[in-house]
Amino acid sequence: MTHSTQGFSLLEVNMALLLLVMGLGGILATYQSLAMQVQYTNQQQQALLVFEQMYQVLPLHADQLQWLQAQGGSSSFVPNGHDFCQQGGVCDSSTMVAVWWQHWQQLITQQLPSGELSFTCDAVCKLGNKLHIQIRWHGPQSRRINCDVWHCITMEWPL
Amino acid sequence: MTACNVYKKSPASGYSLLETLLSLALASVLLLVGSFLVQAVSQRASWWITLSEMIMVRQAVMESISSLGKQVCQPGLMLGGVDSWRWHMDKNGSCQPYDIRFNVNKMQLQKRRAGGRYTGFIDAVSSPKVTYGVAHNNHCNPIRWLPSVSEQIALHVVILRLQFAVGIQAPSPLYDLPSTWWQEQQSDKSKPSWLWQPTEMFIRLPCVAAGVD
Repeated sequence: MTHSTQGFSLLEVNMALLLLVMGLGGILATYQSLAMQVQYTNQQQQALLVFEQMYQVLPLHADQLQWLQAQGGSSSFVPNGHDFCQQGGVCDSSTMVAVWWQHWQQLITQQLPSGELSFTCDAVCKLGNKLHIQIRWHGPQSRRINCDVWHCITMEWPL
Repeated sequence: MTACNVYKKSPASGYSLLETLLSLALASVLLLVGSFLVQAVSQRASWWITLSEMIMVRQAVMESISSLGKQVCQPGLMLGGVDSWRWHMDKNGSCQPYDIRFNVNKMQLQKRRAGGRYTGFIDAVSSPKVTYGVAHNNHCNPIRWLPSVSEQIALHVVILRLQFAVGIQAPSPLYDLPSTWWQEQQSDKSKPSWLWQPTEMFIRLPCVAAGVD
């Protein structure tokens, strides 16, 4: 048994390397998991804060929601007078709600990766069915995805 | 016997000097890489703690303001300024006037019952801006937003828009701050700086005209 004094066997070296790789892998996995958790919580809070604003503002403009829905609620609908309506100017209720909608769209685009704000509503929406207002964004993929490949939260209208 | 021959026989009696040096060098490199990794992870973890703290503080501040708003009773707002206002709040079943103000120096939101002393009830807020949503007579949907309102106009205010920043004390971050955040260094450099995140919330006031309350 002279070879024990000659160094480690191939098996011992491989086992040591395996342990090292497992340790580094564990550190990196924990790192990734924590990063995604914090990132996701932050993004979800941003989305919920926008919904909080909507919960307060939209009931005051309830009559205009169908009108807004008719505009498509898309980013292509940009009303004039954004600053005018928010800085003392008198605006009718339709313009006011459209200005808010645009404000929230901008907020979501800025704060959430590829964030979008949209209406989803079936064909009989105008007959009294629930209107869905949805915020969706691309976030950490390891989190449970609830809207296809997007993260999303949905609010039903009337509240 | 040459030196070379001596070297060739040495493996049977342990590691050569060359092997020992190479092993030490390899171990040093591994330790160095490991320490860099641990340092990077620990710095990143510290930044996540800061982020998480900001998330929790913002949540707590907004919930406190929101619960304050739920105590507002008719006739709602009495007077509104740039960073302070007076409104009616329910106190033990009776509706009483309260003053609310942002105290910029103390970074507090403070309140007082009419004639009393201001006391802080929310800390770590700054850069306040209050805007008032004013409705037509007998309507509840705002048609204009004003930076301050007189007693006459205050009666028609149906919603308050509060814009402010929520802050935490944290060491200077080594990473880029999120786009809307900013950092404020304290005059005493040994103290941690303040990190601020702007936020915005609305408080709906009681409105009888259209049955919204």
